[in-house]
Amino acid sequence: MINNRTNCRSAISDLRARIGQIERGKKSTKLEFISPSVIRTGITELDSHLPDGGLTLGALHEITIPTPADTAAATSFCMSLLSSLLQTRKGIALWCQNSDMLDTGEIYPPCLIQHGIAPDRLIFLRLKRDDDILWAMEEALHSHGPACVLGEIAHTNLTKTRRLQTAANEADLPAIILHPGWQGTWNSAAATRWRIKTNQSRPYGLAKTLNEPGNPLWQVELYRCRRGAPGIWKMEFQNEKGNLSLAAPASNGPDNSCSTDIA
Amino acid sequence: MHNKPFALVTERHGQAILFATNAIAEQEGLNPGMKLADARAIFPKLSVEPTQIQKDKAMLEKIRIWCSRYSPWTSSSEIQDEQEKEKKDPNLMLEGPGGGGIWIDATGCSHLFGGEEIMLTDLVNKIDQIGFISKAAIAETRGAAWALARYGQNNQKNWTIAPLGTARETLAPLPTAALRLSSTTRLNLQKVGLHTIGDLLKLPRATLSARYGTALLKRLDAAIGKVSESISAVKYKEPLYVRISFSEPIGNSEDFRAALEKMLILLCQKMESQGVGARRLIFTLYRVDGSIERRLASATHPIRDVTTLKHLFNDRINDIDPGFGVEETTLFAERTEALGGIQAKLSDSGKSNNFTLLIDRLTNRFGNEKILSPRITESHIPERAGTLSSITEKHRNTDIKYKNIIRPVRLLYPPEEVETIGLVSKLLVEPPSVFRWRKVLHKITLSQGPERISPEWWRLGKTGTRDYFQVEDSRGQRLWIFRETNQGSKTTRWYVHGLFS
Repeated sequence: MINNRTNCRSAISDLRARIGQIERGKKSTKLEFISPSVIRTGITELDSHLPDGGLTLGALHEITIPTPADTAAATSFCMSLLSSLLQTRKGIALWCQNSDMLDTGEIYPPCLIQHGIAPDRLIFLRLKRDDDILWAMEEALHSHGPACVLGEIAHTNLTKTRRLQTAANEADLPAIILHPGWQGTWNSAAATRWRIKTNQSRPYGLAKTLNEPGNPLWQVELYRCRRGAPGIWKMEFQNEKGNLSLAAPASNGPDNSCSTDIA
Repeated sequence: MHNKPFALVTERHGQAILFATNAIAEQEGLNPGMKLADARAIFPKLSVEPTQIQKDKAMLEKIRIWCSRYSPWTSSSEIQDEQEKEKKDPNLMLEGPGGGGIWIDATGCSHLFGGEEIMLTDLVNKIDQIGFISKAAIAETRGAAWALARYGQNNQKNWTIAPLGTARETLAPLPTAALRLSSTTRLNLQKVGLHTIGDLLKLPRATLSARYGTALLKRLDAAIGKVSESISAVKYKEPLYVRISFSEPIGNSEDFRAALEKMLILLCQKMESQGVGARRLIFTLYRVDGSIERRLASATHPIRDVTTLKHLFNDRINDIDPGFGVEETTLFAERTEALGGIQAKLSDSGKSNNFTLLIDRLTNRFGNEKILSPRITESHIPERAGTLSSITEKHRNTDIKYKNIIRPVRLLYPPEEVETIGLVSKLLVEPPSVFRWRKVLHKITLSQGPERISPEWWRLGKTGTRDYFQVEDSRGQRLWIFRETNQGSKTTRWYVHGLFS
């Protein structure tokens, strides 16, 4: 019985890999059963939910900031992804900033250290026009130079995202788009699309007594996922450790979340 | 205008004087420097125009740039000449017959054209085609070339060549004015009957310097080659300069690319023999009508690989306007740096090189002030502690561990003042309970602080003492706000400085 189940599972994962390869347009006479390399977020629940066991490397991922108040949360989520990528892979990441979006603040370098990113492993490119950013991202992917390409983009469309997705796929490098949702939305060819919303934090222990903010708490929504199902999670950014973790369900009460953290 | 007397007029000490005259006017005995009234007395029908010195200079500069087709080292005479710089009257900068001039350091360049004679003929003809009458001379010193071009006995083609070692003899019959002397010195020499350079050469040197100062001797020595006076005093190296001229003008970007590649191959060979790589390249296209087009490419490190260098120009060839066609192209490695050995193909040697190449391409397209790298500095002032600055600035990130303090993800430059609503507690340890920032009300539910950050006493600035609070509003947005107290005015203002995740 157990054997049967594992066989079944492996068969399904084989099929998934096959379909994945066909979808990614890898033309080879013999389909090899190698699952594509991924960015593991480090959160087991999230990784196992994603079709490849993490964010696929050679793909485009989109992160939407629903309101200006969520900017910092979404930025931090991007950094967490970058951090887990840079810890396992060599190279420097390229972050293309949109100078029109700077009214929500500039990336503050000390926070990179808090996210576990060495400052010399990130280079910023500050441009004005979305098309220039898209050009730079595509160029960066084609060059195979950086470990990851990230761009802040206000407007784009299906065709342009498809180009990026293709370039990312060919380079086997991840491309991430961070965009303010209140400035408009589009149909996208991205493999995954996320929406990050900030939530009220749940302080515990001493912080609770002193009425201080606790660890940042977000609602992370995967609203589109190719070859996978959407999902929604509450996540906490651990200020001390500098990584993401799943927040305990709110119904358990703040005191329980305290015990989860210690565990 | 060529066939009747004509002069340009300028003003000196309230008098109209002739600034430049054409050949016919000179035959009538009119010379630059003469008062207009005197000139009119000699020749009443003289037609005149006001001098536009700035436009003249601009034109001369254009011609100078154009002349870089012959050699990478060119300069216009008035800029280089110290003596003329000291002159009080700037209107008389362009002096001597024929106005301003251009120096071309043709050392090692004439063979590209098939010899000095062919090069000079080509130069004079081409300038003639543009619409100017020019005189040219090649000599072993700058001074001699200057003198011969202006006062020498030119052949019909309007050029002179003084063979090596003959400067003394060729210069001897020329007037003293050919030595680039100030007008007072020239006048003084005339008074005592010294009219030619030969007269000066016969005299003992000691008396000359005693009477007319060292400047005269300096000029004399420089002209006959006793003292070297070169445009660039560095040891001669083959210039990293390649040119191609086309029998038929070319006009499409594919041809430009092909020309560029051909020149790059030659240039890379030259660079290899000198052990250098290019940091900055100038690709110049000379159109048939005499106008030029330039493209610059720079790299963050020396490169000597043809394909890589070609990539640097990739996006800048398409927008070249060929005009009536391009007859000549040159490529000059303006900045080079040592690069040893035979350079392996950069593309083969790994990811980090791919990245530097990418940065080069981005720099060439967007400019290096657009490419920023995070800098962390040891400072208490948040704006100073972390900045994004251009990658060209050298900086070593200090290894600071942000262990117990939490810093925002995004920082506002500069901090934005907020409007506090209702009563703000007088206690220094409490932030306002409600404030308005960017038209949105923020009701504070949780707060942490204060963290006091005093201004650095060794930096005199406007900033007062700041008390920072990390606050969270009812919607879960976490902000970094601070109260600034100015000791002088005793006012208290609240600002938002950063956004926490």
